[in-house]
Amino acid sequence: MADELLRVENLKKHFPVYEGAIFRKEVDRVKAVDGVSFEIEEEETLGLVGESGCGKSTLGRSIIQLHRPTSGRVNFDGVDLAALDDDDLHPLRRDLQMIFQDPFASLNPRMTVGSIIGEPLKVHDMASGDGLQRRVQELMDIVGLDPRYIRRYPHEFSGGQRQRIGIARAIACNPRFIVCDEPVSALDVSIQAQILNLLDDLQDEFGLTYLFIAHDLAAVRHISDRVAVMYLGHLAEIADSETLYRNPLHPYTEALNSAVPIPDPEIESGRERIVLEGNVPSPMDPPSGCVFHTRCPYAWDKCAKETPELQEVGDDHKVACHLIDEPERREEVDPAKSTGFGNEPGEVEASDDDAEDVELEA
Amino acid sequence: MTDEQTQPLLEVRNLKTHFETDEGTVRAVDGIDYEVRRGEVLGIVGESGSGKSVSQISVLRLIPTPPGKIVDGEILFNGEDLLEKSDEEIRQMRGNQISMIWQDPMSSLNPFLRISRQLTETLEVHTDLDSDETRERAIEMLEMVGIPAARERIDQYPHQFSGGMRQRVMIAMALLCRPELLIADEPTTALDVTIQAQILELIKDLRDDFDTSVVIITHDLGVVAGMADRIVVMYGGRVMEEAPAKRLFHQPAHPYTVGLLKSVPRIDRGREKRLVPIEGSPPDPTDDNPGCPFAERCRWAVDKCHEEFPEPVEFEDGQRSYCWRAEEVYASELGAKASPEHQADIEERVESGERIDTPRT
Repeated sequence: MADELLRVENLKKHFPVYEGAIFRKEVDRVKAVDGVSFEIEEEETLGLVGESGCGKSTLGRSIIQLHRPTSGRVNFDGVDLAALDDDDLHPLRRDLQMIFQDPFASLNPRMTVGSIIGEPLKVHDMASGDGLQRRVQELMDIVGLDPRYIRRYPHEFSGGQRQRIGIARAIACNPRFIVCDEPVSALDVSIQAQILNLLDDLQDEFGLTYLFIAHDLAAVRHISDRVAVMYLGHLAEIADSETLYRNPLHPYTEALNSAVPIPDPEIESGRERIVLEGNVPSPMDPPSGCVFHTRCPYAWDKCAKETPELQEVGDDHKVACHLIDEPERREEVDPAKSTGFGNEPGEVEASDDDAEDVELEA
Repeated sequence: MTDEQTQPLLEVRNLKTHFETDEGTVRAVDGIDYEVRRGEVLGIVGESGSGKSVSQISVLRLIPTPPGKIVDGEILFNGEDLLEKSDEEIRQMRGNQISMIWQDPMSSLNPFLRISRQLTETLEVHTDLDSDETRERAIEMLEMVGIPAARERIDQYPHQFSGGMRQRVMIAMALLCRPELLIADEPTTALDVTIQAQILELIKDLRDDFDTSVVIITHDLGVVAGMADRIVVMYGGRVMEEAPAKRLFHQPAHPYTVGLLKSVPRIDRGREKRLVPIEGSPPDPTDDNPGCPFAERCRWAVDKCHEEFPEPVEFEDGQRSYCWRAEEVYASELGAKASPEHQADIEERVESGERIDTPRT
């Protein structure tokens, strides 16, 4: 088992809501992240999924201290980042990088590619002059950009190439940990695979550790070793990506899995969806007890009163749900129409891939 | 009567929609043919810039002119050419016989008007109903698309609805006059997955209830896999392939379709399989390219592909592929179920310049 690189303990990030122009006072708090704990091992990819507004981006930013957390600890290689002041944090920032979602908005249009990629190297005094230029061209080569384009501006590149620029900038200082916040969702389908493969290769080559944030479960499952599911500021479930898909225990994970369409009409036609009713509630006024109980097909009175703890249920598999203590309640309810993936085994022709599809039923 | 049943609802023939820009003529749609049959769901799949949306906006004659112009082709709706109609005649059809749902429910509702006003407007234009009747009809429709407490909520403003609810309002608005054709442009792209599932179920149910033909434009193969009866794949302003959904996924006859199927991560596949991306980037739409727009990125491309756009090659069940090597692609069985070994084998043989007649067993 690899060494632990990052340990997040009871992390909270609340954003105050103010009212009044002259007598400004705090009237409310948006509890974007409300007590999240997990750890990430060295050279591992942890996927983080959830719907918009669930707090996944805030969590990512709070870990690398782009937002300073309201409370909780972020232990990075033995140091609590949340407790450091800005000066002490500065030298550590080179180890903590971020790749942003929108390759159009996250690059300064007035800077050349060379100065964008070189900036972190200058800030951390890691290179200058000819050495800087050589390093930038080396980085461009690593991410698959033509080093001759070093003097071009972002608008001269396509979306996929811009995302490569963002990646080159993120790996410039030889970081150890990168938060990838929806790195492919703004890209065309045929380009997404290029970027996912690039991230994979860079991880192998440089021993990177990723927190991969996305709403696209298929991409997350593809790239992640383990996956954490977040709902309204809380972790619902965390497990290795195989277990999370084959054997989800939180009703929200089940619903998310079943909502993702599979590009194969034969599988789709035999699949029953768990369609969740309603929308994610406001994080300003989250539901009592388990935050998911207002949309949960199994919820009973206990769920509205008590917040379930994230508890270990198996090998590295943790779930925050009262059903774990009372599994018999699962039998009593048919979540919406039906559960799981109702492929008739007989309809499926035998081939390697089908063997997997049939396993879905198990 | 038999005529009406066999004739497709919509036939698009050799449609060309171009835009004049400072960089030159953008050939957004450059000679496409397809049809929408009665009661079917047709999926149009493509990346940004493929011309999938422009092809549909052309049907509604909503192309801003200038800079855009439909320069050639026919759009037959119930056998009548929409391009021959006057503006007034087209206005009578929009929202009445042909309706559209736009991608972004945030920006396609007027934020200053109550939902009631926006819904009844369509009915006022197209029917003789009085104001009480239009209101009742609007409430009924909101209930059908699953808006709780529709009678109260109809007097609210768009900002009081969530994204998924706004998309439901859009769908209600589009269906008010029971159109024969509903065009949905990326109806779920701006929504979360669990909300996407709700909306897709809704569109499916409504298609069955109203017997409306539906065109779904999307970049997501997964969305059409579960929804569409037939699928048209577009790239660079051209149709690459058209086929019944199952055939397209299981025995594609175009290298671009094959590339798309291999490049998307699937939730039912594990990490062990490496994605096979389509190398390169989409073409420059201002290029006046006489050949196939995909040729530059295509592993199968031969000299001819760069010189001349192919004639369609027909297969069973109305599957059509616009590729000079369509028969070979079809014979190599590179569908969603092809094993990585089989793919690698075919790729090697393509790379070596071999002609593929049958898959090697």
